[in-house]
Amino acid sequence: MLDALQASWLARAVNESQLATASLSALHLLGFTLIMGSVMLGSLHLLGLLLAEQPTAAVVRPAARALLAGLCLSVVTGVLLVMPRASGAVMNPTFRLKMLLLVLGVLLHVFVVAPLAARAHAGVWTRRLSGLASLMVWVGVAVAGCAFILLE
Amino acid sequence: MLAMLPALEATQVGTLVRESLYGFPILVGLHVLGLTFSVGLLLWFDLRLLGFALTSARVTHVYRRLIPWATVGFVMMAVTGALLFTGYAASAWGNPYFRVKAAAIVLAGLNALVYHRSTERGIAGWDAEVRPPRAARLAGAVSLLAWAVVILCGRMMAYTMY
Repeated sequence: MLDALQASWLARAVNESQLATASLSALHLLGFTLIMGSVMLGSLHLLGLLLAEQPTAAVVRPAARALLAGLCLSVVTGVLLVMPRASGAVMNPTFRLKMLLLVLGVLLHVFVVAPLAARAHAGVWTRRLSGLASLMVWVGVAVAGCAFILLE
Repeated sequence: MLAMLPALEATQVGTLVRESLYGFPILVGLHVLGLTFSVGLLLWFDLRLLGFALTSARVTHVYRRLIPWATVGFVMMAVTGALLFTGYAASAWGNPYFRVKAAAIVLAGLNALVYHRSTERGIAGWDAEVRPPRAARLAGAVSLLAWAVVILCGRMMAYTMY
């Protein structure tokens, strides 16, 4: 299936055009900046280090919307970027780690961080641990992403 | 000034950036991390100026809380950016995306200067407003646009320089 994906006209079009690859990569980073901005805002707030006096819903909800926008941009461009070398990428341990952390980050957001916006009286340690875990996982995505592209 | 660029590349720091095995990827990685931290957080102040997010907090309050964190990322981005430039000064200068990126950084700086010197003067009247006045909203929009151009051109450079 990966070979078929790699041989598709879309994968070949991306592979043959340096401008297309560069533009997709630029949009991928723009999307990731949105993701990191959202994660930083939400996580530092849950850790009690940023806008701690604001209600969690007022901080985490806009952060969640920006996270979704960033994810849409990054995932679409990321899939297009990886298509021309799909079979090689899935065997690459750094790429696998990035994907694992990405899934973990999304799951953490959906099942832990986002519900905290609706719980006004969540315990301090629940909030802090959620913020710390989210921050670490997404910084891990950034580090693994940089390592994948730079050390390949 | 242009004659200085190859000399900058030939310095020990420039050579180290270019030739060490992991120096370049580590610097680029830290540059990108610093960028996502600083611009990622600064965009929330821009969105507050536009009246799109964090509207329950005063504008000055959002600024005071965000800026120390964004500054950490900004220093990381600026230091690693300066080191990377030292290693590839002449080729960067000749790259059109670098020039647009540099122009966008200057625009972001001027926009911040105009905001702090002029627009912010009357802030007592609109600090708590959900939708700040037009000049403040414009400052937020210009900042978002300028930093988006910086990010896009910075990444384009990597594919067009060598």
